[in-house]
Amino acid sequence: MVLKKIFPPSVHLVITLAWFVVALYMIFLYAPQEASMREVQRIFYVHFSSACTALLAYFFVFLGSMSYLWKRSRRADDFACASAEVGFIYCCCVLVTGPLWAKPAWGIWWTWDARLTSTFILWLLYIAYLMLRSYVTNPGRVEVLSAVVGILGFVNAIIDYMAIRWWRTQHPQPVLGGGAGSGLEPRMWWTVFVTWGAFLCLFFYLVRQRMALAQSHRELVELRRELTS
Amino acid sequence: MDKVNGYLFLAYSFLWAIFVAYLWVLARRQAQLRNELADLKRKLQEASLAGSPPRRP
Repeated sequence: MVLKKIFPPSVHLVITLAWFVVALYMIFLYAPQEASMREVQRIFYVHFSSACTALLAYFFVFLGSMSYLWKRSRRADDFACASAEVGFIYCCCVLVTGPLWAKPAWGIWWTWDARLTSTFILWLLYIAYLMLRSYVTNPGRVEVLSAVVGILGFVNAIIDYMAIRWWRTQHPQPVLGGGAGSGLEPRMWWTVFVTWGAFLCLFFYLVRQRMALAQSHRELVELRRELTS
Repeated sequence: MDKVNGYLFLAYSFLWAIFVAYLWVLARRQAQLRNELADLKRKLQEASLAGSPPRRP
């Protein structure tokens, strides 16, 4: 409620769109062309940003689930559910932009290496979580069951993050926190951060909207109960 | 457009399409819920004016 007053969703949306305009300018005009992959390397900015946001989203699912089991807070459950739904969208982006970049870069669409496989499992976990929420209708039970899935699935999110650090994979080594020898040209770094910022801003906007939807749905259920009692 | 730039175009097109589609779905669901809420509130008001709750259809 307080957030809605000091930072209305319409302002949030305008900021997000403006941020995306800046990010697109930086991706296509500011960032230099990569020497070996040339233009197609520009997929990297959105692929990386989607992947980081999808992983972060699962971390929010984990936090929301823990908080729900601890305090039984409706808002925490709404937050976990909204993060899962929006995180699923981002995970779809990763799994589509990845092969579209892999084909010209590696010559193959897909390989079952540790990073790609754990990302695919993350996508399946998102689906499992969302299916559970729509098929189990028993109030009270659905929140607990999905919180358990949210917490257990976080193990895979950690494996997904660490996969390129623990094993040698077809997927490139980390550009963020990868140690000596890893990293990017400074203008590429700025582009990565601005693009990821835009993706995060959109993520929080979508989560807000999804949480508002859950709130409206709850009001509707309560009114229906009032009418029938 | 050569084949390599085609991949770039496809990747960005997919991103825009999925986000716009999801925003549209959210807005539609929100509008539907708002209509249902307004309808139920009106029914509740009518019921309270009549002095008894309306029967379930």
